[in-house]
Amino acid sequence: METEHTSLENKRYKENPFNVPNGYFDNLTNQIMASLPEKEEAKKSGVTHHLWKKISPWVYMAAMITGIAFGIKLYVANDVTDPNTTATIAAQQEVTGTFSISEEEVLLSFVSDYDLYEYLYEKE
Amino acid sequence: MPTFDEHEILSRLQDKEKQRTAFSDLVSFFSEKLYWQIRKMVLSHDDANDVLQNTFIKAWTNIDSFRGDAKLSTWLYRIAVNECITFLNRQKMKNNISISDDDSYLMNVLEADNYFAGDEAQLKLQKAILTLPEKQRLVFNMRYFDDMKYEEMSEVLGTSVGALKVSYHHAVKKIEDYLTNNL
Repeated sequence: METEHTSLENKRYKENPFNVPNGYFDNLTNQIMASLPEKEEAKKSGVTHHLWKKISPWVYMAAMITGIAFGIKLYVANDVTDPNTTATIAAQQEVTGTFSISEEEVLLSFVSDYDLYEYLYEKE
Repeated sequence: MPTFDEHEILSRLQDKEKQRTAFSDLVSFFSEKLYWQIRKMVLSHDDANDVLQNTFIKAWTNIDSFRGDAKLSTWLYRIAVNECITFLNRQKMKNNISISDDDSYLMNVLEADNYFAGDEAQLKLQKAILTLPEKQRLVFNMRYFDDMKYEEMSEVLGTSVGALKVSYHHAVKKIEDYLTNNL
């Protein structure tokens, strides 16, 4: 008797102890089918998501390159007083005419403080 | 019960115009089997009904990406198992129970369910099963009640046949010990 209750060989244990409301399985397919979303909508959003997943690395990369280029441009534009970069900018101006720096400004930028003091001393 | 031809239903599922009818046949064929699998895990009828619906909604929204690498039944079982685990974890969180704890808290759910018709011995067996870790409970239910082959269980659960055999053997031992100690 004891073994009967403790062994899983007991057939009683294998019986299904659960039941369901009357007619539950008769209507189950209809109930499930009615709960399904419309396929077109699901498909559309799936495609959009898929497309974004595909192109997003390229969009991020383009944004990053644009940002870096913009940063460099800003840095160069703010740094025109640096004699080393002025020559480059002046050269760019000749070629592209992008920057509005006059020739006089460019020439002046080549004159260092030491040259200026020497010039003033000679003048005196 | 409608007859089921995997190849035929698969080709209809890939045809946009026939997809919904084909899916309806799929539901009709598998819903009852999946229901019982889910019911043995979540125990309450209402919860099993919800998890079953979620299983088919997930299958429906992902049917276009199903390429036939696994059998449809295996794929559906896998979704059902994942939905069960997600549901049980959510219930544990709701009841402030650690996810690593066993599912003994479900005993209250079982005792409150109007659709449990088991006798005292069967109730005790359910209590014993609830002392198993979740995955071992799945293994035990699939093997003991459904006589599912280890190979099929391996595909559904993503565990080797050897590990499943060991897990089942341990589950049987633990349950029999529980039944002996709680006569």
